[in-house]
Amino acid sequence: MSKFYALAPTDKTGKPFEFSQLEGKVVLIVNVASKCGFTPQYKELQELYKKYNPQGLEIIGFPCNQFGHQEPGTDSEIGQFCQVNYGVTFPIMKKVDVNGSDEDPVWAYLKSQKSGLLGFKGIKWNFEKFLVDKKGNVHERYSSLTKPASLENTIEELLSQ
Amino acid sequence: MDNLPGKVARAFKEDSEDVVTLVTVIDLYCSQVNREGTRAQKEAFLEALFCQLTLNKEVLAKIAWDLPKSLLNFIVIENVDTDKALLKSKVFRLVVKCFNEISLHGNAKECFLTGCEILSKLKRDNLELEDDNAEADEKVETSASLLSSIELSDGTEEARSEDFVAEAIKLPHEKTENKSEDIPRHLRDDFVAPPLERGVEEFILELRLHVVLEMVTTTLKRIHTLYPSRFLGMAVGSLFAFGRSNADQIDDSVFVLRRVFAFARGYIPPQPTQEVIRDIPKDDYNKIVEDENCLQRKLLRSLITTSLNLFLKKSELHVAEALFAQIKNLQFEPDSLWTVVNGISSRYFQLALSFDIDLEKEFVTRCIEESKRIYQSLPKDSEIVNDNARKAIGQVIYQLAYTYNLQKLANEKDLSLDAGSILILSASHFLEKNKPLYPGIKIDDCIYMYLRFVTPAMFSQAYDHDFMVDVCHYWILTAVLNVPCHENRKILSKLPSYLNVIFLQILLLKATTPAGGKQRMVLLTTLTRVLCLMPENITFDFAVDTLLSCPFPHIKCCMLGILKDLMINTRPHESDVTDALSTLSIKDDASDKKAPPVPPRPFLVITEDRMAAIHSLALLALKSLKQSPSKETSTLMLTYLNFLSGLRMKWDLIFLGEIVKELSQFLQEEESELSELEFLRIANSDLIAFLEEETKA
Repeated sequence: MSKFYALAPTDKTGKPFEFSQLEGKVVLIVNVASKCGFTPQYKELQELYKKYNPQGLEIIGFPCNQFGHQEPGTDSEIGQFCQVNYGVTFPIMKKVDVNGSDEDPVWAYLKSQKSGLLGFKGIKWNFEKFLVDKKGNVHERYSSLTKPASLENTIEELLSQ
Repeated sequence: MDNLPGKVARAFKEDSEDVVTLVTVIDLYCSQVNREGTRAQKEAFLEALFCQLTLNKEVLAKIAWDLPKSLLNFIVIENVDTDKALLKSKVFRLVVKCFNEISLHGNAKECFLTGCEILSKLKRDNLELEDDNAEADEKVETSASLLSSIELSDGTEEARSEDFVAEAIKLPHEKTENKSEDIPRHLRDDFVAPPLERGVEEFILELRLHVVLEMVTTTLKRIHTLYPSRFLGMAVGSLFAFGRSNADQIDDSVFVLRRVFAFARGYIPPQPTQEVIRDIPKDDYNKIVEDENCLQRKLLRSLITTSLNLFLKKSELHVAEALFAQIKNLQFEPDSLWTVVNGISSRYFQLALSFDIDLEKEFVTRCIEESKRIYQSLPKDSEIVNDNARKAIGQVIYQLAYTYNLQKLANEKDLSLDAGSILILSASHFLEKNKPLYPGIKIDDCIYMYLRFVTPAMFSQAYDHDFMVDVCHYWILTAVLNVPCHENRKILSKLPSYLNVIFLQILLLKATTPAGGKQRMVLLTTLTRVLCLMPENITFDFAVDTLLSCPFPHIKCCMLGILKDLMINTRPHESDVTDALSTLSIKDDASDKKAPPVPPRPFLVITEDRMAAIHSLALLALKSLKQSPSKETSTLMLTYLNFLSGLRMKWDLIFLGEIVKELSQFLQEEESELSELEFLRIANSDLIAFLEEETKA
């Protein structure tokens, strides 16, 4: 079994979110921020979720304040922001670090599986994305510049496997 | 002059096949209109040139590399309205638009190389040649603050190459604030750029830097190559050259750091063409890509760390003060400049993590261990035969780090991370996370680090670095606070005494020179705490040596204040060891009783010899006062009296009587109207009254 399913980050209410429940699903993991130039990507992420969740796509957002301090709010404020502004219904976790000594184990794992541009493992900015297949393997890593809608084909492909 | 726009159009028409003639003509027109034309004529000319560049893309591809230098000459103070938004400076706007065309449609490699060449030669001082009307020392209230708000285009990389005029001029925060208004605030007629004092030369230099760096960035993305590290290396090299030429003269280095940050974070490696890939065996290609990626990673890491070191020289984050405030539950009240510097340091800190720099590991290796290595061959106290040898070694210690730096510079062949930058980033770690990067730091680590980063500036101004000194102070305070006192005492007792003394000398010097009162208080507290931990003889000898030989009276006064504290205040209930000893159960008659508590002991015990030494120093101060009564000499004497007054219950009354008597005689005879003398009279009278009481008793 992939180590991915042994992970259990904390959700916004403080409870563990067991990744074992994601077995057999395609998962898109994103580090999100409310005050970033890329924040409108929430809209496309929600559209993807709405369209493909019934077929087995799960999207999980991890708020992170490491890039330009663009996620300064509390977990409940972040949750409210996502819901009110973008109608987000996919799970949003507790705010985490994605780089450095306090990085969340989920992100340490994802980064160890796929490097980014030039082979850097570190997350460069908000809204980087990791797409995980049904077996828990990191299929691909996408930069902030990649729009969620452009992942549709790959998601469909992974869902059909 | 009014015909120049028409002439430009004609030149493009007639000389489009002969590009050498065309660029010569354009250069000529540029310099002519820039030298002799009115603002309106310059605008008309640039408008025409821009128009021709957009209409003649094929010609532009051939001549683009030659245009930047001529165009940059238009970015001078007489062509830019410093009190208005940059967008309203039409000349500047047109120059930027021309650069935009050049970057997008010129030959990418040629324009990139031109950009790098210009970047490496851009100098604040050179601007005077082209800007005769700007006085060297003139300070203006410029629209520089508007320029500083050319913020990092977070999340807008897609738009970057579209039109960087807009990017250069927009105020990102206003995009949301003014959504409902038709005209953005900075475009309204009544808009006046918020004032920010900055030299004209620096303002112009930064405008030029922005324009050229944007061209370098855009053209770099358009280059096709199998070896992108060569091009990145050129860009990084030219930024370093720019930094070395200008860093010491730039007041607002945050502007430059923002540009470098945007370049490093937004860097996307140029890619080879499909034809090139097709012709290379797959394994060879993969190997090249791997090697290239490795080189580019090193270059980007080197760029961000070296830039921090270069451009933050004159800034400070008052990180020691921030730690002190945290410990004492005080309000840390940074000013607006602090917020700006902290903002950019924080971004570099996060970018360093994005670039996989393991800060803790690098800090231990480059700051702690490397610093320790510099001083590891110093002899033990017992190996030093006499005072002359001790003095000579003292000199060596002062110079060791400087010599080491020079040798390192000469022998450096690889792109390594800069130790000073790692030190700077360690401060950002604390400010970001509210905890030290390396909690296990020891006081000796801090001493070696302090000597290594602070002493080179005594031999060359190139190593003057306020930021690093501040961070070193932060680490000393961290070690003092985080490590149990008995452990710190043990460590300090094992260091050569002469090393401790030199460390104390520099710390005292730094503690008594900062401008801000709070910072001075923090550093003096740090020094006092270090002196509490030093072996007593070192602390006392250091105090005596300072009072005897230091050329600065205000430092002597500080030293007396510290000495008084050390002789009055007692150590808090001694270390864990003492606690453990006091609770030891010894199987005898009194087995159930605790050992009696250790009597309170001052940090510096007052002995006959120590009293005699300070008495002699007080007499010397009195002698100086008698010889030349002044504010300095009388303040020093007054500090001695305060010292003696504070310790009078423990002091030798004969010594005290001698001082009081001699001072009384002097004060009776002295007719100077120095206000300090009046304070001396009051303090002396108090002591006389005390002595009389004691005699009666």
